[in-house]
Amino acid sequence: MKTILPLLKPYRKQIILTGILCVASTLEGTFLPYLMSRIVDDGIAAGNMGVIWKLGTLMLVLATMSMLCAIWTGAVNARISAGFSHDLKRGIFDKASALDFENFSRIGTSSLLTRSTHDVSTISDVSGMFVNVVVMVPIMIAGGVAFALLSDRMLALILLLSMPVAFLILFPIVRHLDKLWKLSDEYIDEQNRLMRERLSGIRVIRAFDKEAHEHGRIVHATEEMAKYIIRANVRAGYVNPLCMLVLNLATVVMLLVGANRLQDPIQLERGLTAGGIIATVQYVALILNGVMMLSWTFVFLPHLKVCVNRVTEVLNLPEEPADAGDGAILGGDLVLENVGFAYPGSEIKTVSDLNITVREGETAAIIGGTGSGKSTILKLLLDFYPPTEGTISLGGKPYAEIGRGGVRDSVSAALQKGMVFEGTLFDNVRMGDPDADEEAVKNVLDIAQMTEFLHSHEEGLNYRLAQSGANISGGQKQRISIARTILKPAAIYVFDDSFSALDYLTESKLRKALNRHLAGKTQIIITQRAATAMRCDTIFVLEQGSIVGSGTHAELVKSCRVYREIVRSQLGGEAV
Amino acid sequence: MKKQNTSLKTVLRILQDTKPIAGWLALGAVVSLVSVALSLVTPEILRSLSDRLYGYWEPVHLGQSAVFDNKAFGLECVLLAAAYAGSSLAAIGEMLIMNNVVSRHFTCAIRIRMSDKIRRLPVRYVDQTPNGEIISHMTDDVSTMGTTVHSFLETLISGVLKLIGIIVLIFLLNPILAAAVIVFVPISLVLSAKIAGKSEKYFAAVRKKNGEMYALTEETFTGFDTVKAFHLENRQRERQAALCADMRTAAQKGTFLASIVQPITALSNNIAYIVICIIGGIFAANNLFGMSVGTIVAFVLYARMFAGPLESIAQGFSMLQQTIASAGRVYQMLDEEEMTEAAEETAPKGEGNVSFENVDFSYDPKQPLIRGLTIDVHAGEKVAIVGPTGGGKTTIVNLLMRFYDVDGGRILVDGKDIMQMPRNALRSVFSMVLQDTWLFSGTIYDNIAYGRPDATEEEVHEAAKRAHIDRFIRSLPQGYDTVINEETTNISGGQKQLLTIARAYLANRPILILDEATSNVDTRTEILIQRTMDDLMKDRTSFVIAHRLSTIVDADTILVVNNGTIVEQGTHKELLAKNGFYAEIYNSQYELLN
Repeated sequence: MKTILPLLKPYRKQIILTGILCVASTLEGTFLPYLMSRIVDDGIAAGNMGVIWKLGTLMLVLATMSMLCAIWTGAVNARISAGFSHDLKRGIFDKASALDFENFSRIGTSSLLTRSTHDVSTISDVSGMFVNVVVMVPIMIAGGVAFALLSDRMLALILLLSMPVAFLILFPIVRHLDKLWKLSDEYIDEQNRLMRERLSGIRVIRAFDKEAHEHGRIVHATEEMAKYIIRANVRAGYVNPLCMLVLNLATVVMLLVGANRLQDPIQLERGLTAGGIIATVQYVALILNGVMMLSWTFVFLPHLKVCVNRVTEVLNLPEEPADAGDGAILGGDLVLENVGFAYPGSEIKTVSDLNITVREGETAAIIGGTGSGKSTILKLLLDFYPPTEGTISLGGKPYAEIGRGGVRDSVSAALQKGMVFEGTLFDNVRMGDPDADEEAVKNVLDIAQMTEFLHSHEEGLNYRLAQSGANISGGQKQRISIARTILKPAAIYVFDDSFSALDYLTESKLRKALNRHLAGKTQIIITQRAATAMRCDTIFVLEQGSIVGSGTHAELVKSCRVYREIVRSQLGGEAV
Repeated sequence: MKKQNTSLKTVLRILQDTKPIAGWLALGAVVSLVSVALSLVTPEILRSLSDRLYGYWEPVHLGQSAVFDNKAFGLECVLLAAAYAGSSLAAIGEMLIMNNVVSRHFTCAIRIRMSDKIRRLPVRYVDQTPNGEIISHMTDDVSTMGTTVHSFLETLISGVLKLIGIIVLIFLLNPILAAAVIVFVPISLVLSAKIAGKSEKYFAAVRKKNGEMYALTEETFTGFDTVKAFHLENRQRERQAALCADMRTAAQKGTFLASIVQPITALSNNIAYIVICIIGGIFAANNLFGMSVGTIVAFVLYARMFAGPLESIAQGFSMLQQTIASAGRVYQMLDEEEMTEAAEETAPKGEGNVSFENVDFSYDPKQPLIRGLTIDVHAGEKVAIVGPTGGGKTTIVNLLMRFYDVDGGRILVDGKDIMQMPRNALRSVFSMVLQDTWLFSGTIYDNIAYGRPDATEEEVHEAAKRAHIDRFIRSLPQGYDTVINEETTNISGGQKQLLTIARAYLANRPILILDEATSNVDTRTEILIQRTMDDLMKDRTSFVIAHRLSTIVDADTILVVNNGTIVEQGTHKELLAKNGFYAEIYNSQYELLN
């Protein structure tokens, strides 16, 4: 809460205003039954037309004012809630994109996504409702009881007592509703999961003639789901009729007690009237409505708390510290000296004792299977994490001195997934170098073997890529990200499994063009394909985080058992 | 006109589907009738009670004497309480009936029918329809239908009857006041419906922008490393900020408009209330039209009841539009053309001979794919299918397994046309190991035994041993009873692949289909997988989507697939001699090697 509240600070004045307006609107509304009792007592009984017209006009004025105040409240509230939600959404996104990799991966992509979308929406929706209830319900109750007191103390007491009774009946019903909803949501998810599984495995299922079996599983899940949905709906269905029942029975009790007291001359002397009883009875509906709103709020409160905690956790995380380095170094040998690294919070080193030297202009390959630590090396090369042991230096200067910005300016990397962003093809490639012109972009796309793609779409460079590149294939994404990488002016170009989705023919053409374009630059190719690594100047063989061999293909085939195994399994015995 | 016709047909069909629960719906209607009748009686009783109170108080107040009939008053109070209790109980009863019956026998039944339908739909349908869409028809669309059937009684029976009841009763009480109520209450409804429609437009804009923001956020977080490596933080922030600003504007307008509905409704209800008080008051004070204080009270109560059914009827109509759309999608799926099944109960002998005779096939009639394909594969031979990614290598598998049917020519298994046999009989001679390892959520044991549920425990263990996965399974805390599901993290992609191989071993069928890609598998597991695949292929006819040189080189027939078409076929030597597309692929690999 402490982190969320400051976000409301800019709206302090508006919140006070909305509070005042809300009080005004509610009080004006609450006045009406009281005025009705006066019409009955002073107007009808006395046969006084003037009083009836006067009170009627007063009621009309009050009702109109109440509406105007409510509309004004609505305007102010809309401004507050839209602004608050806006600030919260921006705040969490700005914070998330400024996180360092340690905190980012600790929370995790999908959790961060839920927090900055679903949780934030829930907070802004529910908190609006919550504020309304907190401001309005006490006023409704206080107003109702106050007006009831005007006519009779006993009736006011019954009115007051009906609230805890209603609350005691309603609260146990609504209290576990959120759990039931969650449970029935889980069963819906379960049915959907089974269905998704069945649709994605349709070939295997049919190959084994198991459709009947899968259908049976879904029937069972659907029946279970119905059970839980019924349970939740039935429980929620009790709320309204029961609330009405309490309201109505309270009315009956008040009528009985009212009739009894009306026959008592002392009460009559004190000013109890028939109109008073009739009006007081009308406050029951008002107050019980408030109690009902309050009960529903209690349903959402735990949910709100969870969301607030999750969002607050992110907002409280530290941002990546400012860059303290000297800036770009564009050239020189890359040297890893005794580098070891363990992910924060982990005791096991992902890579250890790495000694790698790549001379300027050379092409090096790092080969290994999944889990060998290849991608970790890339993260260290881009200074996403500092190594826990040893040093990395470029052109003789340690990374720490060059600084994060300088390192990322000197090293250009195409990452495994081939990430593209919503926007034009041109934009996506130009992220590598914001100053590049159309000619340069076309050139790198040609090198990345994307010319055919470019020609096959009328829009050419203005072809719009969907979010996360949903409208292109994995191979095309990889090639766009390669184009982006080589457009960026840098000293070292790293390709992390960037050719894995390409067939050998395309890869061969691309690599040839790449070597021409990057002549004189350092290249590091991270791969698990032996055919991709073979022609590099030096190959480093990585297994379980350590280098188990280095040298040329010919040397490694003779000296390194792991390398031999990789080559044999991928290329067949004759390649060894 | 045509649209109305289909809408009507859809509604009729929904009604037809409610036939099995018609009895229950009738009971629900009776119960809700009771509830309506009781709730309409209560203002009448309150009128009498109010008149008794006022009739006693007025003379006493004016200094005259009066007698209060406590007995009659008490009796009426008991009657009132009973009516209230009865009405609430009936409402609860209706709620219980409708929830249970609709969920259990209507929505659940439709979902089961849809699931059953999928058994009889061709693979083509599943391939062409996004899975998410089918799932959303099954959950969201059916839910919408259920809600409408559920609220059918509420809107049509309770709503309409209540409305008619109120109008009749207030006109009987006092036609002039009744006219006032009937004029003012609907005004608010029309106004609020208009405003709600307007605000919905803004909310739709917010939802759209919110969707875009979700996608942007997802893209930024999943590509976090690219964002950092290329300094794209500010680019993404600016975009997000623009979306947030748009949402703020739209949300503010939408929220404001939505918030004025309530005050406007309240005002017009209050105006009706005030008009009743003034006119009623004047009439009562002058003893006109038999107006009494009790009548005013009853009017106030009826006016308050008036808005409820009107709202629910209006809601019901807007819901109906949605329901027709949802039901249309559901029925469209249920009406999809089903696969036809061969009548003859002939099964292949299981020797493993396969031949394609002049086969034509295309997914899209405009783009012919396979034309005049003829291959002869003898029992025990190995066919390698090679070609660039996305070239359509799986088409041949689709045809062999009859996931799709040929357009021309025939495919023979052991000399019999596969179109002449039931699909399950044909498929019973095949085993498949596919690249995306499909395992269902269940125990490891059940997954291996998937193809042969009758297998003994020894046979399952033996299959696992032959797939080199037995030792790993036994090392798991739950062993063979380990449950595999989405959250399973202690089983790697390679181990899952080995499980599917074990499944194929156990199924022990004469023809094998392998997609041998092993990306995302560590070196050791890859070697294991290849050894076991080679072992599995022994003495079986096999169709292999080949990625390794060794498989390609020693295959009996190589099919070279490009852009969905078979461009070349022959042995390794023949194809190299041809110096065509195959030679180019092969040489490009060779080039990478040297």
